[in-house]
Amino acid sequence: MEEKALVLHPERCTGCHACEMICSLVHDSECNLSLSRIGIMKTNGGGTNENIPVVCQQCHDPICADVCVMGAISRDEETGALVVNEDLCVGCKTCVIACPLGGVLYHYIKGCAMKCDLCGGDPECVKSCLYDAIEFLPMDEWGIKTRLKGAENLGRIFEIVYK
Amino acid sequence: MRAGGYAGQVLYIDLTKEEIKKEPLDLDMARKFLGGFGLNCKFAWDLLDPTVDPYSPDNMIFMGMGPMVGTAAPASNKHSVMSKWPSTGTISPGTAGGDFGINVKLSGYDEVIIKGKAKKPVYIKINGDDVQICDASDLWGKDTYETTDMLWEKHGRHYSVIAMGTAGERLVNTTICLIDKCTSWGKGGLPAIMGSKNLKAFVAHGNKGIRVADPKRLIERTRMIQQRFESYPDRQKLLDLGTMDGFVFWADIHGMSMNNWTSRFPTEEAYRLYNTDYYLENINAGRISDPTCPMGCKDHVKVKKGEYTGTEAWVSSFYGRVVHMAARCQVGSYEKNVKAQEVFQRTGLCIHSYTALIDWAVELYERGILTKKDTGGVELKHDFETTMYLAEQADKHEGLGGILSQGYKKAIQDIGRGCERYAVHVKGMEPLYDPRINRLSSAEFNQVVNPRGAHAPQGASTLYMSKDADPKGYRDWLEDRGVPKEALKRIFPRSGYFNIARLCSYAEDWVAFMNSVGMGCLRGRVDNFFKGEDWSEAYSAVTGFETSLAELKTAIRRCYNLYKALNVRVGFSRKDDVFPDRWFEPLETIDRGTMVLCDYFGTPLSREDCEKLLDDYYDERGWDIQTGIPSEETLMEIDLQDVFRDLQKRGFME
Ligand code: SF4
Ligand code: SF4
Ligand code: SF4
Repeated sequence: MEEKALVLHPERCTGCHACEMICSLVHDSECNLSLSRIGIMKTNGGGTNENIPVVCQQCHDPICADVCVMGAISRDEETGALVVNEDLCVGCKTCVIACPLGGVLYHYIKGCAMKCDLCGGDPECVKSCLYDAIEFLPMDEWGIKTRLKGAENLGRIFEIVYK
Repeated sequence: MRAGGYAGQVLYIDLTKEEIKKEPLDLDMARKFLGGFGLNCKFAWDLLDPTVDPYSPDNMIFMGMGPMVGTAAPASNKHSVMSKWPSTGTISPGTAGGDFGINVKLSGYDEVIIKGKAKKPVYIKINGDDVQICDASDLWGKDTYETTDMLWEKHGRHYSVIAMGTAGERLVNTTICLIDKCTSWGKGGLPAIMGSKNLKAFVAHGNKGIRVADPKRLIERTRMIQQRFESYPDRQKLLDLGTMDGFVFWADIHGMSMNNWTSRFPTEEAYRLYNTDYYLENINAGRISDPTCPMGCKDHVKVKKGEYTGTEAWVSSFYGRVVHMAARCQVGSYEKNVKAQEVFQRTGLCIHSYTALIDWAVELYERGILTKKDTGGVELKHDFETTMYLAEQADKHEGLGGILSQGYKKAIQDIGRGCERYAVHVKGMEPLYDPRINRLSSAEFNQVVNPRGAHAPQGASTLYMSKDADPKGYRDWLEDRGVPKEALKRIFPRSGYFNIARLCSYAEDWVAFMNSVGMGCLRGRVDNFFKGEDWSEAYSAVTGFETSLAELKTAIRRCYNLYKALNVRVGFSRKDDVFPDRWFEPLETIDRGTMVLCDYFGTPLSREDCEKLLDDYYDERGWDIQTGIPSEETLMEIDLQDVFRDLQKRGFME
């Protein structure tokens, strides 16, 4: 299994909610911002540079799985996603509290933990985000992209300093 | 079967009685009037007294969110408000995107209806079943930004906020509300109506979920539509520029009249002051999208240098607003343009409406009709200072600015002295497009017949095409959107010609349709990527009511006729669909010679020709040519027998 995760680009997020609408539709057959596994946190007027998408990063060493005494969260070996076993989950919300990223939520209708399952390996939110604010990348590629971003930033600093 | 899409409830709020009622939505009625704009018409017809004084507690605010609002379908966000507007006296709609509509739907309501008057300042909180009338005394006196920030502070940023500014508190008519500091709603005086009800704001957040009858079918269609957007080669450019992608059209090809419709804003000047490179580098600070829109076009703008550094606004159709400040007020630099916009947005003044009134006032001053006695000793000019001065007076509802800010109808009475000769308006509302520059296309023509007043977008839709564009584009679009063959024959009776008046009625219907079901956007950047069948597919998938495009179109004809009938009952008829005098005067321009009113093909039009076009328009609509009132036959055909009987009883038809 190749380690892959959703890579978020807050600076491109226009706050269109398309990712949230499709996520809840795919998982719960209804459109509902509050039942989306990805959440768009807006600040101020809600434009690019003002919105922060939040979603589970499928941690390498997952805290949510560690704190769950029921053993309800485990890794799907095929997709690499950390998934909730709804039969085991008792809805104690320890994982919700423990996740430092706000990646795990509480499904207030089903009464159990709710989190991104990478849609079985083919993330629907990525397809619905027409602003390229969510990418699904293997970690090595993400590494390269992160470096590129860093280089761009440095380039800008050089421009400011030397021009 | 529980229907999808429709949330299922109507929310009634009576501010006088402090009473909140929830009633189930009648689904048969919903299918007949679709939702959003259409259902607003139906509720207004049933509940609103046509003679009501707009400021009276008995006037009502109808907010409708169609079945597609808040679903995953692309561009499913348009919500519609209806009331009797104080600036025009018409009962007509206003449209907005933004997060408010989806949160009302997610709270469980398709329609919110407000009446009465609160004893003291209040705001309305909608959070699912929990609906409250809350104390707003600390919000009174605050502008739109401050009000919104305070409400977010109190309830959290996940709430969507509709706020009116300070002008609305003083019942200023040429005002708009802002949704989440950005999207404007209710041109014609929603804030003044709210002000008369002591209602400062709304907040909404919901988590009930909108049921989709056939998720698989909706997702399939959604992907299909999204694909079309994604594969468009110039997509990135459109996203970068937002509505400013229209700049060249304005600066060069279309242009905008200035000096109160007596000349044209020079192309060279437009490029000097407002070119797109400058915009990208120094003005734009971010892009905002309405819910599920694939082509987000709203602007976050922030001045980055000079005297007005830090001036900030979040605006829809930024391009249009820049143009108004530029051409009508001639405020000068880009920075001043944004500064003026910020002041308007904060106070809640409508940039579309009030800039037109300023333009008119400057001419009246130049002609000596207005003097320093009227202006408070100030010389009125087309410049930044005059604009700011009159905006301040408007906000305070005092002095000349206060008079102007009530809109043409009232200002003409208050100023008198023959000022109406220079007032360019239809039913008290300012036109946007000058048909001498753009030629008489669908959008220009609609300004005359729109029951709301001269509000172009209703007839614009994607049909807003350059005067050099191939008319075939119109034909393809009409065919795609299910316009019947017989109608096409009437619109295109021979090659090389088409009848813009006949065509206009279908463009109007289409925009009204999108605002009823709550999917789609009239901007070409969105509409060009949709096909007619997308709506029937998505509507059927979401609601579970298998409905063809033809059926949907019959429903919208019904809604539009009801909309017209609402205004017939107020007293409007053909006598109010008047082409402004100035359009028949030649337009002298610096760089384009003399321009006169022409049809789409460049043939000059006289007033008589235009009257003939009006005949055609009423004929196409099935309205009486003499009166412009829907005929008995038409009303019967679309199942509005009760409307016919009501109009007959009131003496509007035989
Ligand atoms: S990958 Fe799937 S489950 Fe995860 S946030 Fe995106 S749509 Fe939701
Ligand atoms: S779909 Fe993309 S742009 Fe839209 S809210 Fe989600 S992350 Fe942001
Ligand atoms: S294109 Fe239309 S729907 Fe999309 S963001 Fe702009 S106004 Fe809203």
